[in-house]
Amino acid sequence: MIARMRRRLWQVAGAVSVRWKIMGIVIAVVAILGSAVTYQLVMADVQSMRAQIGEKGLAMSKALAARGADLVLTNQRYALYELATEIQQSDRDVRYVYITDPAGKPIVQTFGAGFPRGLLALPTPDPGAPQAVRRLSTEEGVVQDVAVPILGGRGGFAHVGMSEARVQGHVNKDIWTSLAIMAGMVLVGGAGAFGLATVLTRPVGKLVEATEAVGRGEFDTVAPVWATDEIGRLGIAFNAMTSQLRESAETLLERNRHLEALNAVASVTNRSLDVSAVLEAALDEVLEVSAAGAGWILLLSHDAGPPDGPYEFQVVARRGVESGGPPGALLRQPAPCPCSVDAMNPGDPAEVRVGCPLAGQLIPRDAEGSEIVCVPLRSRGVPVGVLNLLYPSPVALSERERRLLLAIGDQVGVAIENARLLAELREKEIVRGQLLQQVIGAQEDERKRIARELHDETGQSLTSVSVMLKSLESMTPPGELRARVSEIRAVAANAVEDLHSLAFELRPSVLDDAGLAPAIERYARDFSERHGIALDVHMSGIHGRLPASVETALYRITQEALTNVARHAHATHASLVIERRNGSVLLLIEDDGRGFTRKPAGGDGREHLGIHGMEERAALVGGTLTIETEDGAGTSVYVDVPAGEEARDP
Amino acid sequence: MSKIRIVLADDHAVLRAGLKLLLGSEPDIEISGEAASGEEALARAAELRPDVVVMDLRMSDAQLDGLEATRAISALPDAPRVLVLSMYDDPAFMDQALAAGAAGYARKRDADTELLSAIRAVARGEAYLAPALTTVMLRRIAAQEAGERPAAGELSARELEVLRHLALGYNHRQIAETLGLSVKTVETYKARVMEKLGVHGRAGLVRYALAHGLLTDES
Repeated sequence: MIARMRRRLWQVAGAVSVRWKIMGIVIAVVAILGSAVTYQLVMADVQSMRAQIGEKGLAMSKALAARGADLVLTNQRYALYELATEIQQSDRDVRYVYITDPAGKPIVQTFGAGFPRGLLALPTPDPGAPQAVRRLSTEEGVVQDVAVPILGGRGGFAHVGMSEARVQGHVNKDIWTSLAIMAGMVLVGGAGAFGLATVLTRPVGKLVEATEAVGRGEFDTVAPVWATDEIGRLGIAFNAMTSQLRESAETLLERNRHLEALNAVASVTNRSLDVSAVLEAALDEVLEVSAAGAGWILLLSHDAGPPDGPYEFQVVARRGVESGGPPGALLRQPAPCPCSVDAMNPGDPAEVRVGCPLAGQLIPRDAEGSEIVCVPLRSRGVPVGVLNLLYPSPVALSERERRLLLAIGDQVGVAIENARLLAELREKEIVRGQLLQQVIGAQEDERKRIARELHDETGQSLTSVSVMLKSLESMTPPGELRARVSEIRAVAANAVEDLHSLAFELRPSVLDDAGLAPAIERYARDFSERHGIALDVHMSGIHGRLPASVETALYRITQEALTNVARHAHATHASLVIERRNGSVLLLIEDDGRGFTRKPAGGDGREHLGIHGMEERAALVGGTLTIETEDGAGTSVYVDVPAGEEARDP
Repeated sequence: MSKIRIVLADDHAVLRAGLKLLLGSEPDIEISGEAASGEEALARAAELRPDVVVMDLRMSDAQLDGLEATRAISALPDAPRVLVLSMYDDPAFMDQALAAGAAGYARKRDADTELLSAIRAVARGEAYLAPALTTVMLRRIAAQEAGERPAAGELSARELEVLRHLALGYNHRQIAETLGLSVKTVETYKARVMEKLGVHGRAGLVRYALAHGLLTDES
């Protein structure tokens, strides 16, 4: 409950601005103080007035008692009445006067109409006491009843009633005066509080505004400082903080710009592998982020001379430099340029040089006071060239800018190296392809030659032997000799068979003499017979001849694929389709065997080497080879090769 | 009964000698001439008018090889019959030889046992094929008849579409992409089509598609 109220209080107080809080406190303090003072004053005034009235009443009572004693004794009632009336009229505070006999019974009274009952109820005062004062509450306000004994009480008592009504009027007047003064104080205090609050809150408000501005990123905001008090110190501290923030933000922005520049250079160097395109794009990016107005890139020629000899550079990219010959012009330096020599020394740390003395001789500068900055281009520490930047005015490069330029130099150097490596790789790939083609071609030629030799020479000779033996056999009379001759003839016949198989495996002459289709047909027939796998062959459109290289490639791929089927597939059916259509030949070999999961390259197995070989064969005649397989779902080999020139022999 | 007059055409002298030795001992055979090249064979044939020319198909260093010589000799008026005697047993060579006009095709490796009967058969006006090749011929005829087998079972439109693409040589993934199917589904269709058509592989599918004109509308 209390906690809730406190929370509520804080909510209300928190919602009010500091200015109103200060003013509220001041006004409340003034009001409380004023009220207390007024109360005290009024109370003192009332006391003193009451005492005055009491004393006056006492004096009058005594006077009445003294003057009235004889009259009481003489029982002159009228004179007593006269006296009472006189006394009552002598002061406006006197409400009533009356005299009682010693028993308390009124003898004379000034009430006119009936005597108030309440007074009768008053006990008779002690006759021994000089006086008895009692405060009575009446319908007309408080009345002090002062009773003095007459003749020691034997003559009765003289009563004078003193009204305190005047006191009340006085009190009211006092209160109003006090209120007026308090209102004035509140006004003055409020005005003072307002001024104080303003003095306090205005700098704070400005600080708040400044903080908000900084929050929006306006780091050049300055908070005004009016004094050296706490708020002033706060303003000074705030300004120090924002200036530090501004510096950090600027540093960050600069770093960001540098990173962006590096990133841009990296991205343009990655976009292309053409050296000059890369370098021109990189140069553009560098000029974009630096203050340089022009630049050019010199590449060290591959066949660079010794470190102390003349270096040969080639201008491969330029921007904003018009004179000095066309791009690509070979520029020979008159003497080794110190920057270049340093740049060419792989052992030294890379360094950005400002004011190369000789770079200007390469390409004349137009304006006096301009400055050339040399950035070494390196790849893995090995210099490959120099990036020269022409600044319109002398420059003092910050450490950060130097590092950025070096990083860009490294990036560009790596890009150059990459492009060179790629070109080299491509060249090697081409050479490899040519070599492979030569090797395969030589192998095929050799196989062809050996197969021919086996057929045409060895085979025929052996056939001659068996024919001659046959003739010898027929001339020999039946007997042991004839049986021997017959045996020898059988050996020769076997040898001829083996020789045929060998020659066919080396290279079927039917492939050269009759073309792919008959060769495949023949191979397929042997395959089915040898492995017991039903091989269904369908060929169309290739009864004309194809280029020899295509025929050889397709034949060898078929051979390899079917060998794989026989060795690994565990197939019962295989299918072979060769179709020539739309200028290309499709070779398709599929089986219903167990398939396989193709392992990543470099895995084990001749199987994969065989697949690689098939791919190479297909690629060498400009074709592609696709294999579709899955464990348990058979294997399909698709080869698509261009049919090449029109058939040799339709 | 007159002897069978023969011209031996072969560029291999040793073999020719062997054959002469073998044939020379036969009473019903007379070797009228020899040739070491196609053009010599043609000249001997024209000049000597033999009954049978025994012809090697490949003769190196010759302007006319055996095949062309066979064609030329068969074109002579009242042509002698040509028996090709070859090292090769590929049906393709047999086809070529028969197309060129040869009356028979024998293998050299069978010469010791078959040549005499081959010469006699050809001389009688019959055809002669090496026994190793007759099986090939028979299988070929059987295959042709099998190719004309009618469709076995109805195919749905989707199956026909898959069949058409399979016959066109697309791989499973390409078909899956083209028809918006999964590779697995394509494989299922393929298996179902093959089962319905009673074939065991792509070759059978291609033959069926060709025979039913499914490939005429190539895209």
